[in-house]
Amino acid sequence: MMEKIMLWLDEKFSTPMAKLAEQRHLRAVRDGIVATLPIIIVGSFFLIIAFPPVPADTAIALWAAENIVTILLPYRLTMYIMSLYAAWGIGYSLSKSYDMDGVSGANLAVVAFLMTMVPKVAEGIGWVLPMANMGGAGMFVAIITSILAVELMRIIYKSNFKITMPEQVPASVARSFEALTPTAVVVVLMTLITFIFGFDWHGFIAKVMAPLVTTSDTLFGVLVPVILITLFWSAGIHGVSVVGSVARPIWTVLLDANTKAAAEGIALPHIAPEPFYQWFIWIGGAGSTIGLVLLMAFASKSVYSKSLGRTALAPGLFNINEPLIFGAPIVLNPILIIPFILAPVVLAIVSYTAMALELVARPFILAPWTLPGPIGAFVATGGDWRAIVLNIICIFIAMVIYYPFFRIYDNKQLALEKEEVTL
Amino acid sequence: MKIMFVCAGGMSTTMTAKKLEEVSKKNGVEMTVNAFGTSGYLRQLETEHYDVLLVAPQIRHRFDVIKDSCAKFEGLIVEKIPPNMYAPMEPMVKKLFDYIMEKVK
Repeated sequence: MMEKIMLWLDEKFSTPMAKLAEQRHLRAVRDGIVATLPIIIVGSFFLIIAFPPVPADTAIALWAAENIVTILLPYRLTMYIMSLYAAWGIGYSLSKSYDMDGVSGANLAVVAFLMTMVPKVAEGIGWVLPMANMGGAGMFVAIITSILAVELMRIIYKSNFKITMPEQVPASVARSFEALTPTAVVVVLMTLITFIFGFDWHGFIAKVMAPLVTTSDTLFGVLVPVILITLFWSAGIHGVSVVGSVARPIWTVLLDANTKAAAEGIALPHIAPEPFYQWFIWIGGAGSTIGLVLLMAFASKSVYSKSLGRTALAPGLFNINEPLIFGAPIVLNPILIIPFILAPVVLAIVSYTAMALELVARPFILAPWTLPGPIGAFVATGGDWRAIVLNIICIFIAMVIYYPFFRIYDNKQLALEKEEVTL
Repeated sequence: MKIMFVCAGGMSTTMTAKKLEEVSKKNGVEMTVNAFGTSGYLRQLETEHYDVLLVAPQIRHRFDVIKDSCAKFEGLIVEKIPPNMYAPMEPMVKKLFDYIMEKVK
C-alpha cells in the first residue's frame, strides 16, 4: 500500500507536474521574476532604514522620520517599480527560449508594458508617467504584455515578413533592423488598444485577478502551496521552484501591497507574501526540517543518523536541506514524509493565526533566504521581536512533530548497524 | 577530470561537490568539482572546459532543457545524479564516484 503511494507520488504526480512547470512561458515568467529578486531585496531594505526597529524617540528614529522621503527614493526606483524590471526579464527569457535576440525581445516587452500606461503633463515638471502601475500591482499586466510582444515578434520573424539586411552589414546592425517590423506592429497595436480605444489594462486585469489574490492570502490559500511544495520535495523535486513558477507573481503582488502600506505607515493588508512561508514555515528549508536536523544531531542513537545530523546542521541553519532530504533520505521514505508534510501545515496554521490576531507583525521585507530563521523573521517583519519568538516556537513545534517519526527512523538505522556488526 | 554540478541555486550542491573531490582523491582519481545554479552554468561552460555535467535530482524535471542547452559543447557528458547518491555522506558519494567513472569509461 505504502509502496504504491510512493510510486504514484514519484511517477504520476511530481515528475509529470514538474515537467508542466517547464512549459516555455511559465519558465520565462519564473526566470524573469527571479531576476528581479536582487532588486526587490536591496530596494526593500531601505524600508528598514526608513523605519528603524528602535523606539520612536531615539535619535536614529527621529532622523529617519525627518528624512523619510529621501530615504525611500532608492526603494521608489527599484522595488516600487519592479514590474518594469520583470517585463524586461520575461521578454529576454522568452525570446532567448525561441533562439531570438534576447535584448530585442526584452526591449519590445518593456515598450509593450509601458504602453499600457498613459503619460500626463504635470505643471512645472513636464511629461510624467504615473509609477503606481509599474509596481507589483502591474505584475500580471507585465506578464501578459511581455508574452504578447515576444509572441508577435516570433510570428513576424517566422512569416519572414521582416527587413533583411545584405550579408555585409554587421550582425548587431542587422539585428536592430530586423526588430523594426515587430516593433512597429507592437507600438501600433498598443496605441490602438490603450490610447485610441482607451482600454484600462490595469483596472481590468486587477479585477480579473482579484479573487485569486484574495484567496492566496487566506489560510486555505496558504495550505495549498504548502502541501504541494512538500509533496514535490517528497519525491525529491524542488517544490518551491516548481510551485513558485505559478505562485510567485501572486506572492509578489501581496508583498508589494504590504511594502507600499509600510512606506505609507498604514496597517499591512496581507499575511502571506513569500517571506511568510520562508520565515514562519520553511524554517531550515522546505518541510520545516530544522526540527528533524536538531533531533538527529543531538538525540540520535545510531551512528548514521548522528553523523548525517551533524553534517546537515550547519547548512540547515541557513535553510539549505538537500543533504538531509537526500541523505536520510526523506525522499520516498513513508515514515519521514508524514512529518515532512504535517509540520509545515501545523506551522502555517499557527503562524497565520498569530498574524491574523495581530500578535506578531506581518512580513513586508524580502530578506535573503539563507539567513538563519529567527534573524530572517526579525528582518522580514521590519524588526518585530515577537517574530523571533514566533519563529522559535515554530522550531519547537517542528521538533515535537518530527520526534516520534525520528525515533522510528533512528531505531531502524540502529538495528541496521547492529546487523552489520554481527555479519 | 573536471566536473560540474548544476542545482537550483548552486548552494546546496557545494557540500556534495567537496565530498566528491575527497572521495575521488582517496580512490586515486583527480577530480575538480564545482557547483553552479541554473542561471549561471552556461556562462561558466563558455569560459571553462568541463568533462562532465551532472544535474542535481531536485531539478531533474529540467534535465531535457539543460541537456539541449549543452549540445554545443562537444564531448561534454551530461547526466542526472541519481537521488540515492546525492548527499554529502561518504557511502553515497562513493556510489556517485563509481557512477561517474562508469559514465566516462
